[in-house]
Amino acid sequence: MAVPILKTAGLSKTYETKSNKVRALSNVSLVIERGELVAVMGPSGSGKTTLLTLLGCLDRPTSGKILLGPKALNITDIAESELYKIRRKLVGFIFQSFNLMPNLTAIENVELPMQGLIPSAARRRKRARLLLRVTEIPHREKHKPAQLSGGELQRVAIARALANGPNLILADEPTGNLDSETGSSIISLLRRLADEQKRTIIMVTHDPHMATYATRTLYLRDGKLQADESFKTSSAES
Amino acid sequence: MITLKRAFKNILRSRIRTLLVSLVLALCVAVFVSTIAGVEASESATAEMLDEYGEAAEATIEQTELAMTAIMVRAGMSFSEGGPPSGAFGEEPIDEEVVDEISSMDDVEAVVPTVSAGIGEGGEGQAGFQGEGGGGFFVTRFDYMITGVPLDSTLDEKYQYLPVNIVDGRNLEEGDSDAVLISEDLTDYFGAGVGDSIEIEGSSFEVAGVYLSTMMNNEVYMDLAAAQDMLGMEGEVSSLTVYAESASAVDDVVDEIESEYPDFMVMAMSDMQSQFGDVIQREQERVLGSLDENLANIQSLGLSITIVSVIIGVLLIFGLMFYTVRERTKEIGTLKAIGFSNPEIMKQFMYEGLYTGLIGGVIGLAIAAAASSLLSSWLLNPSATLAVSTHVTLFSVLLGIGVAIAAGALGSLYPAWRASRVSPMEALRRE
Repeated sequence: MAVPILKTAGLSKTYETKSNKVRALSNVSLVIERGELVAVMGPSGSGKTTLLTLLGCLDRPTSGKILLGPKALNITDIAESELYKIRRKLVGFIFQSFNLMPNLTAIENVELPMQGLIPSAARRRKRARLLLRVTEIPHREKHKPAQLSGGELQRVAIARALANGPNLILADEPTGNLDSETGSSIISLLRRLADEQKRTIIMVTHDPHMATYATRTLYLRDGKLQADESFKTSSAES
Repeated sequence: MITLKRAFKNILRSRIRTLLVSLVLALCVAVFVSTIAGVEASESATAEMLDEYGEAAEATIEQTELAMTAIMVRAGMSFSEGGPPSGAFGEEPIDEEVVDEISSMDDVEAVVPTVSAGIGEGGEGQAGFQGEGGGGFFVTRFDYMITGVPLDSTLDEKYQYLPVNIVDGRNLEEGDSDAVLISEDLTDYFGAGVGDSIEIEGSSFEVAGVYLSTMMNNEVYMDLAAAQDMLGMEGEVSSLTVYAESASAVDDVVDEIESEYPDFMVMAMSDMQSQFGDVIQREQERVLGSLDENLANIQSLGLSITIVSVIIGVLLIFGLMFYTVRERTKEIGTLKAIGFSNPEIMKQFMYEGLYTGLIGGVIGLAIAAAASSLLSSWLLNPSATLAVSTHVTLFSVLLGIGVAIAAGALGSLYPAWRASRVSPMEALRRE
């Protein structure tokens, strides 16, 4: 049965500059269930990335609520100084340009978010190794980012996003810096994580082809939710 | 622990930059440590000099106090017709028995009899001692003077009537009945030096030693009995120096001698000596003052140098860390986005600053250990008014490391705080 993992109600964000106000996101309400791979699409400036930053607790909404996880934790009520705990434990982030630490090896990058949660170095290493297997790059654990290809980098980054077993994975144009073939393999990996491990993934993308891998597509225009299409396959349904 | 490790890996990311900053910081630490070592060395050198000077001054004061108890006793002037004067200044001689008589007086500590006579005729001139009130005696200036004193080492050690500044040979000793001590100037006059034989008034003497000439001190010192014998003054002496037991007893002793020997000229040295004492005291104060002033100058210069080197160290770390934080904004944003707390980020950048400080500190100590004497004399004492050799002490090592770490902490405080305030949104910034 479907378990709601994320709910938003009347989510709005207004950026104030000196001269005017920009309404980046306007009254977005949605419910996302466990195991969904959601593509967020829309033209530039439509509020895609803003939605992602609000869901990922990188920024705070001007108004509205975000309820996260099976316990429907209201993360908009959490104090600024405590938000890092949500980012560390409940949310995983994947970036367009991978954002790996250049002086750490692949496995060290994956271990990085575990530091505050898993005190044992051996256990961190074991878990990171497992995650690199899940993202199909176990043979590269000792390599530094400069020695890895774009696709490999993103696989390491996905493993890092999975580090603390988050409820929600947010991806900002995860294939934006990759060629279409590599991009497809990365999206396939994300889809498999959604289908097999029941990970909930929300990704911002420009690419309609990548959106075809999603189980659901949200269209944003001028900060408003314009369309919400589900193409639930049998595997996502189960 | 893991943050420490990551911080260390991070400072190795731009090795050249870290190395350069560490080296400049090392110079600051080396300057700091050397300056401290230099000031410490100057302090101990000054303390040593003060000690030595204090001992010398104490000895001088002792001598001065002793001299305060001295009383000069001479017989009255003789205006007899014809014949050479028996004393140096045309005085009557004093019967040697008087020595024992005065010695037995109350409050008298010792009596030093002296035989003196002028030899040769160098021409007219003013000589002799100045009487009270500044009146002088116009007397014949002789080529040199004979001074016969008892060669009694115990007495001389206490009252030092023989010259003390022997420049060649040795001083006169007990039993030196045919040896003399001559002034440096007189070596030319006699054309003789230590070990040579000279002739005085038909008697032959061996030069045992040469003393440093001072103004109006053209004297030949010899044994009292030998001088009496040579000058035909058996049982007679020219003058007496009477030492009272204490300075307060001087007046009583003067009175007693004057009443016993109304013809004698009796003069307490205390007036002259008290002026002399003032001069000594002023000179002491001047020397001590200049030592203190010199040290104070070095200390304040040292303080300025240490403060400046610490400020440069702090600014250096500040600049490095500020630049690093700006350069790594996106990375910091990413760390925030994947769940790092503000204190964790701040800690990491503080550690990076501390590491750089520590590396600089260790290199700096190595430089200081190798070149602290050179550095400190170059920094503190270019005119070399106080030559000191420094050694790096445990105190200055600890202080140097402490300062390097403190510079690291202080310099990275604000940049690390800035880093902790970086918004996680920076992670999403497109490049």
